[in-house]
Amino acid sequence: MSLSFLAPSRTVLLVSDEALFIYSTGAKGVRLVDTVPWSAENFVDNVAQILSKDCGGKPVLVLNDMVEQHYRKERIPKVSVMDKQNVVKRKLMVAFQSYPIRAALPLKEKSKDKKGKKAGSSFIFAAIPATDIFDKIIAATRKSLAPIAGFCLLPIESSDMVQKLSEKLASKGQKKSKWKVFIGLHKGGGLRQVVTCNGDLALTRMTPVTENEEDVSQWASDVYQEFTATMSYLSRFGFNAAEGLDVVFISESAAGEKLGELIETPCNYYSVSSQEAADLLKMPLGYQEDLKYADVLHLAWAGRKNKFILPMKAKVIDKVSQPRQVATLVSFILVLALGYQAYNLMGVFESLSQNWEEIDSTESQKSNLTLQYDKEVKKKQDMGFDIQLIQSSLAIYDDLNNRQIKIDELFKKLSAGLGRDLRIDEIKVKRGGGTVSSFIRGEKPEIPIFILTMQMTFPSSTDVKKGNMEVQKLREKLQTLLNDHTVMITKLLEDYEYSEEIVVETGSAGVKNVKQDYVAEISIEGPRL
Amino acid sequence: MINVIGIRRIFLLGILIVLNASIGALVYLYLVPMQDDTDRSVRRLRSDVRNLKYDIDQIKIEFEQLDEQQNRFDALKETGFFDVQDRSTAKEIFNEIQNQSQVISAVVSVKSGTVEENKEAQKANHKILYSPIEIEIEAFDDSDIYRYIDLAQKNLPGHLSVDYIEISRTRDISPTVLRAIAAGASPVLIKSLIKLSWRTIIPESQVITPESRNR
Repeated sequence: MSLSFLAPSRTVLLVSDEALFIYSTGAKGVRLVDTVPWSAENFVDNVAQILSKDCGGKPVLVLNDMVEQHYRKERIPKVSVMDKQNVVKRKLMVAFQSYPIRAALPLKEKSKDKKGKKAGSSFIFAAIPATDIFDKIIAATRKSLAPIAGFCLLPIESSDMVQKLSEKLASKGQKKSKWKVFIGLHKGGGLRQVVTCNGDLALTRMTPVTENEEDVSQWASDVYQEFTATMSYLSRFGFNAAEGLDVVFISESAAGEKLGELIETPCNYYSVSSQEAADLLKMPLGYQEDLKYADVLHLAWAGRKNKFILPMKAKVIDKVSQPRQVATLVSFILVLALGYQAYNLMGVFESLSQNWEEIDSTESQKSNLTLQYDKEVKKKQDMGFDIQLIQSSLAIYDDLNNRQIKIDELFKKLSAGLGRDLRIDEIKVKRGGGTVSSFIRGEKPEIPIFILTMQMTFPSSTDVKKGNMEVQKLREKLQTLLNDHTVMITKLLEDYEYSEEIVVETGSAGVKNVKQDYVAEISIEGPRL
Repeated sequence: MINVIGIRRIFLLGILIVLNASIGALVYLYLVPMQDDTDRSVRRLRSDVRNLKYDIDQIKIEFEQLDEQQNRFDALKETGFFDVQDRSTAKEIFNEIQNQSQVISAVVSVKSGTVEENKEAQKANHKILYSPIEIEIEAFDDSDIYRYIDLAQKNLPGHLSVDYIEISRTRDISPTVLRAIAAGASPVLIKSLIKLSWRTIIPESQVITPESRNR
């Protein structure tokens, strides 16, 4: 149910046995637009004109309130979900073969087998005959070009209203009744009774009752007789007074009171006017001349619904309503798309406008900077010397120096390492992997920049172990002085490790042997000093 | 269908479809490509502005550094870094160095020069001129050799780098050597082989080509 101000604005066609009542419903309430008897000349044209012009072509809800409505309670055996719809459809067709307008409503109650286990679902099958009246309504609606919101049965669409109204009328703490009877007089002269059990429609009756405004007692007595007849039907439906019964009668207070006095069945009896009922249901009814009629209440209730309880299905209705629904949906989608397109267009325009502004400001900034740059370049040229030559030559010179082997510093370090006792007999320094020519090719300096080898000679009388130790000490000292370089002993005075080769001469060969001086060698390599 | 839906609704649907299509075409066929173009233009302009700012900053930095660079450049010019490695000048300089360094003998061999390509030199339309030098020195003391190298680096125009140096003792200090020293002679005790690289920068116009040699 929608909120009052969001209630859909509709044209409701109340189909009674006497005439067609055309109502307009919406946020302001219910308004009777026109009543057209079925026997009226040019019925279709007149109704079509009323629907399109007087009612503004609003969506049409057809609410059937005729006497001839057929209901049957059916049980569907327990079948799979996939098959259930087909089974219901087939059963419905079999039940009402000659009635093309039909529908099935699942009930809340579940049927059980003898053992008390769930045996399937219960449905109310509803149908109405395809009469001349029906054809006229469809033809008029088709001609008016107004969309069809639904084709429903009044008692079914009002069953939830009966439930809610009864709940509202019940005093706090009162036990909820299982059975509810709603009695209301319609403008066409029929008395509509809607009986619900646990919220589901259990029974409905439409009986002609002559309204006697002068004799309220007689009128109440007539209504009471119809109520009694309804109750006798109810007993066949398993009615038990202990389960609770609410009776709601829409009437003027005097008739309501009289009926209340007449009813002997134990029940909660309520008599309210249609306006009071509408207020309880929080829906606007609008101005009504006579508040004893209940049909406006049904119309106001059904007219506000977004989803109907049981929309009736028929090919003729679908032929008219489906293309219109599709057209409405397509229109709606197109309007949404148009909105999106407009939003998108605005976004692109905004982005473009920002870009254009930025282009203008950046171009202006660029031209200013270009002027400044030209000015600086001219200033540079006006200085009269070649800045590029200065910068390039300095870069080349600095790079050459970076790759220079600093002989003087290298030899100073060696001298400090040797001390007073040791002397070098031969020293060789050569470039490592990074040659100066590699710089010419634009390569980065390579390590090592230089490789130095130095040889020291020790007399043949030197103690080899002591000599080796001295060489080791020299290496360590040089390594300390040249900490980021690699200092290695490449040759000791004499080495007895397994990697060395020795020749041992003994006997006469040993006598001939002349002792040679010992030679040690140290190698140093690394980066520029 | 027209009877069911109605001409007005069909007309309305038509208008909505045309409006949607028109706005869609305007946006996706015209405005979006235009937006892409302007986006590219904005990016290009931003990049241009960034580059210009960088260039201007660079020029300003260059101006700030110019004084110092100018002095260094003048000093390099003074040392003959931009000379063409004239062989007669080199000969005179090496003769002078030998006298000053007190080495006993020095055989200097300056090989023919070659032109080397270098990106940095290329920027200033210059080339690097490279001449290998080999020197064989005989000396009484190794310090004379170091002095010789030092003087060569200081006096030869351009840049001189040491590529190879070998120093070896030729004789031990024996009584004979000591007697010669006492008599005022300077016996050769140390021999050295030195390989140097001599580099200067010359304008491209001064590079000797086979054509210019024939002229």
